[in-house]
Amino acid sequence: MTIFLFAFIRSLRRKSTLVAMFVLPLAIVFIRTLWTLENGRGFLFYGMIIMFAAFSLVRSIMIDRMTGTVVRIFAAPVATFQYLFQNLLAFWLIIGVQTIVFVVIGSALYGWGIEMAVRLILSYNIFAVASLAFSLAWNSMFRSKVMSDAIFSIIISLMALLGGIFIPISMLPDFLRKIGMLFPTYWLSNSLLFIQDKEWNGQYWLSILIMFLFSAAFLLYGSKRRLE
Amino acid sequence: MTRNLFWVSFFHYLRRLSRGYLGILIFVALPLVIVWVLSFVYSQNTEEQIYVFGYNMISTNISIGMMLIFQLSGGIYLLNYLNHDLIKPMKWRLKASPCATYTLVFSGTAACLVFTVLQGILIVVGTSLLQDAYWGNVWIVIFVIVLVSIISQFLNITLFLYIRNVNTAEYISWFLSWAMAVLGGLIFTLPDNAFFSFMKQYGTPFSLAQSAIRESGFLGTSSTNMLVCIAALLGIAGILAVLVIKLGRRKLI
Repeated sequence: MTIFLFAFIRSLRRKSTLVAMFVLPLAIVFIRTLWTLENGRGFLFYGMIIMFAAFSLVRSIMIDRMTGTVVRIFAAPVATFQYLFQNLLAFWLIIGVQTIVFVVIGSALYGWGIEMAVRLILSYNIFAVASLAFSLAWNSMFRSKVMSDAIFSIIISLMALLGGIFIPISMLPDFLRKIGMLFPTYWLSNSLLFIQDKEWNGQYWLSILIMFLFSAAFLLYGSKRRLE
Repeated sequence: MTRNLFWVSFFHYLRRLSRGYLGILIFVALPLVIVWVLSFVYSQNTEEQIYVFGYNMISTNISIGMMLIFQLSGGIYLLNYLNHDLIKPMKWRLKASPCATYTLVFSGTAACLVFTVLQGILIVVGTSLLQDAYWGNVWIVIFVIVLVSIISQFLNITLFLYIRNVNTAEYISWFLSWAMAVLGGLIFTLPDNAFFSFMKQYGTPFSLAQSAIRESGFLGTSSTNMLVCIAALLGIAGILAVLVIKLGRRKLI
């Protein structure tokens, strides 16, 4: 697990990642109005933070590819699977730890209860996998960082718009909701609806399953393309 | 001689700006789409009267906010040009040219200013034609767009000179404009107390610009209020200008 270890250290050394991972969530978790059960925006804003964090973490795989580092890595006895798996695992671990810290602080402040906390951790973690996989697939389509960033900022706005970040998904008209279903953010919102409505059990597990399938699809696409 | 050089580089910056389609997509098409979707959704879900004097109040509210968010981030163009021309790949080549660095920076800033103001006007025209948004007094709106654009350029230069890393500066620039929008009450309803109501009206460049535009038409109550907001925006631009000149002398030339 040498690659895992170094990917982990390298990610923690970047200042922008640290800000996205620790400063932002801590800043929003103390804004009380975001976390009332009727409003519930905070839960979705946190989802967007995970998405950004995942994108900025996966950036290092893209940098490896662009600078030719990956060719040198493959000169050593390292398979593509090992390289990708260990890198993504390191990224996921960072987001996972942060999610747990965040949910623990949230539970202490707002009394979320054990069942809700576990469900939140589960959906955020699956969403983190989906975001990492999405970012990997996204970056594999581009050769330049600037282009990838610029178009990503458009796509993420649309994702936020149709994934219930600005407006609850229940308010979206039918055709916009159908477009929204193409993005993992929609399913994160859908899975978080159980917070307001306790009868949402079936939908919760369905959303988790769909996010999982999204992750598999993105991972397949993102890793299929040769890395060099 | 300097004047000629200024116009040559101004013209070329403008050409360079007009060639990228991505910028237009992000700074004009995206806000128009967001305004369209949000006002469509909110109009479906409201019981209140939407149209006042033939203008759609929901899209007015969203359009003003969106235009300002994207105007405040407009300086990102300049950020990338400064990075490319004066720090990273082109640094020694451009320093070898007979054009002084300050002429380049001035012309780049001026070109970006003209371009972002045009973008802002495009959003105003687009939303008022397609969404029936109300923009108050046209001249005041254009003046406010120019001021916000100037503030955005200066803010981005300051960020860039302090941070020296274009990616981080860009993230912070976006974050600042969204944070200002949050404090302006655009994203979600803020708690009703003295601090937040001050921030919503006068606390940030975003809210000052928003108040100025609202006060210039029938949405507002007093033109004195509008003048105060515009004066405050001018003041902020002035302070930033002094800061940029000081920083630029120290760190850029």
